[in-house]
Amino acid sequence: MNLHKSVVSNLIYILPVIAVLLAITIFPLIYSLSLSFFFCDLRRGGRWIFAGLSNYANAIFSDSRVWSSFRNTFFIGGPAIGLELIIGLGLALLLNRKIPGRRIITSLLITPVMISPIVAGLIWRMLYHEKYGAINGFLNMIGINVEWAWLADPDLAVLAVILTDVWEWTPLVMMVLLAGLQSIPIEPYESARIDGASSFQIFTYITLPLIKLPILAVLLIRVIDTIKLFDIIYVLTMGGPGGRTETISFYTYLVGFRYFRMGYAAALSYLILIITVILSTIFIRLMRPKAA
Amino acid sequence: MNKRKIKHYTGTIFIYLALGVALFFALFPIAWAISTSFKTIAEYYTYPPVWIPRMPTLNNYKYIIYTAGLGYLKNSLIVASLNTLLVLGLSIPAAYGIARFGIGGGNLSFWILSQRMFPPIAVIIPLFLLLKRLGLIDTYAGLIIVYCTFNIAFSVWLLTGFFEEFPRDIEEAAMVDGCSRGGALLRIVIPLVAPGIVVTAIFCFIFAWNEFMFALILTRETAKTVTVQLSAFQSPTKILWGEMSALIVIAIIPILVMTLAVQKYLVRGLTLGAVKG
Repeated sequence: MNLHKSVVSNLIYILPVIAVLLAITIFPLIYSLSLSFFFCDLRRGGRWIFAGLSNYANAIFSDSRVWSSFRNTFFIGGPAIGLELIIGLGLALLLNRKIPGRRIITSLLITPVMISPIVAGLIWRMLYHEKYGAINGFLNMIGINVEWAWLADPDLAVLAVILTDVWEWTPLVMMVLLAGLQSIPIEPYESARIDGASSFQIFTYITLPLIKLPILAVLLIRVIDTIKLFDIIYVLTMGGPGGRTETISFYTYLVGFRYFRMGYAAALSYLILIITVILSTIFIRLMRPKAA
Repeated sequence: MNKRKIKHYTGTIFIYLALGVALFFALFPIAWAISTSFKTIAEYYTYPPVWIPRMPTLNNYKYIIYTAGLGYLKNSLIVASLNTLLVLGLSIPAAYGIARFGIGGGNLSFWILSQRMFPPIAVIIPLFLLLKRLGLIDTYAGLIIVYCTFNIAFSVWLLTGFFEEFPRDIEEAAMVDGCSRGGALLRIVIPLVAPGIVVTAIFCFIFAWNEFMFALILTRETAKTVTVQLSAFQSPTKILWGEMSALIVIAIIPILVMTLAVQKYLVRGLTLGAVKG
C-alpha cells in the first residue's frame, strides 16, 4: 500500500509535462493524421471532404514536385553534411593540441552556431549579391572578374545554400568531435607509437574508431536538421530558381500556407515524419553498442 | 635534432594558418553585417563594395529604434522569456521525477526526446488550425504555448542530466531532518542545481528567440517577432540592407553574450546529451 501511494505521489512530478506534450504534440499529430485522409482547402471554406488515401497516392505517384523536393533536400544536405564533417573533423584535430590561444580560437569559431538561421541566411544574402555583395567584390579584388548571380543561377543557388549551411553548422560538428577527441584515453596512442605505427595508421585505426559514436551522433543531428531545412531557403532563394532549392519542408510549407491545401500538406508532413523516424532508427541502431 | 625543431615550427605555423583561414570564414560574414549597419544607402549600394564605411552613420540604428524594430524586439523578448519560465516550471519537477524515481524507465525520457527530433512542419499544420479555432493566432499566448513543443523536450532532457549528477545524500540528509520530498527539492536541490537550471534557461531563451517558422505562420503584426520582421526587410525591388543589418546586430548581441555564458555546455545542449561535453 505504501509503495502504491509513493508511485502515485511520484507521478505528480511528471504529469504536467505529459499533459502538455499530449496537448501540443500528440493531439496535433493525431489531428493531422486524420486530416491527411481528407481534402481540406482553406480557400474554399476549409470543409473536410473524405479523400481516403488519395492525398498519399497523389504525393507518391503523381506530384513530381514531391520527388524533386526530396531530391533537392538530398543534393543540398549530402554535400553540406559531407563538407561539415570533413572540415569539422580537420578543425577538431587541429584544436586537439596544446597550442597557445586554443580556447579563444575555439570560442570565436563557434559563433555562427547560435545565430538564428534566419540571420545567417540574410547575411549571406547580402554577401551573395551579384553587384554589391562581398563575395563577387572579393573575387574582383583579387583579379577574378566575375559577376556571378549566386542566387539566380540554378547551380550556383544550390551551392549558395550549401555554403550557408556549412558556415552555420561546421562549428557544431567541430565542437562535438573535439569533445569526442578530448575524451580519448592516451594509452592506446602510447602503445601504438611504441609499436612504430605511423600518424596515418594511428588516425585510421585508433582515433576514428574511438570517435565513431560522436560522429554518428552529430550525423544524426545534421540529417534530421536537413529534413527540417526551411529558414535559410525562405530568405535566400524561396525555393528557386526553377524550384532547384525547394526542399521537402519548404514545399510542404508552400502547399499548406501558400496554396492552403491543408489535407495534402498534412499527408506530406506525415511522409516527412515517417522518413525521419526511419532515419533516426537506423542511426540509433548503429550507435547502440554491439553485443560481444 | 635541429631538423626536428624546424619540422615542429613549420607544423605549428601550418596549424595557425589553417585556424586563421577558418576564423576568417567564421567571422567575416558577421563583420560584414556590422560594417553594413553603419553604411549609408549610397555606400551599401556601391560597386565595388565598400569594406569599411568611410563616413559611419547611426541612421540605420535610429531607424530601427524609432520606426521599425523596437516593437518586434519587445515581442521576441516577451515570448522568449515567458516561454522559458513556463518551460522551466513544467520541466524541473518532471526532470527531478525522472532522475530520482526513474519514472517510466528509459522509455519515457526517450519518448520526450523524440518530441524534439520530429520536424516542426509536421505539427505546424494542425497547430495552426487549432490556434485559429481558439482565436490565438497573432497572440503572445499562442507562440508561448507552441514554443513548448521543442523547448520542453529539450529542457527535461538536459535537466534530468543535471539532477542525476546531484548527489542523493544531501537531499536525503535533509529529509531525515524532517524536510518533505517537495521541500527538499525546493530548498536544497534547486538552489544547488541552479547553475544547471540557468544553463537550461539560456538555451530555451535562445531557441525561442531564434525560431522562425512557427512565428512566420502564427503571427501577423501584433505578436510578430524579430526574426519574422528581419525576413520582411527583403522585397523583390530592393532590400534596406543598412537598416536590416542594424536590426541583425541588435538581435544577435544578446545571443552572443548568452552563448559565452553557456559555452562549457554547448556540446551537451546542442546534441541533447548524446555527447557529454
